[in-house]
Amino acid sequence: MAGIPREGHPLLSDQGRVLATVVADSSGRHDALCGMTDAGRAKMLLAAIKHGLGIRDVAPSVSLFKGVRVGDDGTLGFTGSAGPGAAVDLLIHVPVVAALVNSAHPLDPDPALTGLDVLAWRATEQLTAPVNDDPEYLRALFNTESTWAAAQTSEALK
Amino acid sequence: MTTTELTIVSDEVVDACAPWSAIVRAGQSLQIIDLHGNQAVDTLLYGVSGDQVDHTLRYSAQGTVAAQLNIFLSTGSVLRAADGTPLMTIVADDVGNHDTIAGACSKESNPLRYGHHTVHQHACAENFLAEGAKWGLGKRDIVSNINFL
Repeated sequence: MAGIPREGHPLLSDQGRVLATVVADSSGRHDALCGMTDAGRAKMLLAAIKHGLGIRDVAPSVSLFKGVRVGDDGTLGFTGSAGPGAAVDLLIHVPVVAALVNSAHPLDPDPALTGLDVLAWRATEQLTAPVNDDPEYLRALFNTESTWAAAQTSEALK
Repeated sequence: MTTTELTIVSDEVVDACAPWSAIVRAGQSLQIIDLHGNQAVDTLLYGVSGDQVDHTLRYSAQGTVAAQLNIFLSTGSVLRAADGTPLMTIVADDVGNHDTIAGACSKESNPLRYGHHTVHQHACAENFLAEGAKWGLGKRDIVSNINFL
């Protein structure tokens, strides 16, 4: 098994809301098990504080572009990077604060920090055509959109 | 032959689907017994200073897994905070491995996994919120938990 997001997979909140969907991924090397190094976590806290959040709000993170595989006995094996130029496209479903830290992976035996290009563009039409027809995904999408629509309505009534 | 005298300071039976919490001091041991062989025991740990909860120190699944390079918890596993601070160590285990990946179900996440008819069913996230409130813990403090047994 591997705790990694793949193309078509949603990034869910603890309440099962779809915050984002991975709509394209040319890396395939990601990790949701190991979290951050001390230095990475300090920078993540800084990003949180800039948005009025605090250390209690810094939840488990996902590491993009560095892979980890899990053996049958549960042991972790670092699989490293897919090489330069790999990209992940995330479709954002509800307004979010996206906090990125360009940091070493905690299991990387030879971390070499290099630059990262972060692009954002309008993709409203993509929101209307789900990239995944799995029933769980569609229910998650329905729940998210219902909650978001209700939140906007109650906001308008204030 | 030497025998160790155990001084039991607390022995409580937790009802099915019910939450429980207490302060466990450094040097004390906590034993969890699955009385009927059917339980998943969702567990979180928070640091305390005196009788006050330290909101900055709590169990971290990622901190624990990365430090031991294994996703399973068993004898010898040190349950750690995100910065690596050891909170508890598993010193004995009749089971073999315990999960710290799957987390707790919630009324909000159950409908997507099992269908909308499950929205009103019991959920562990509710237990964490209700029990955490006794210690001044809120939704921000509920993180990925251990599922013992």
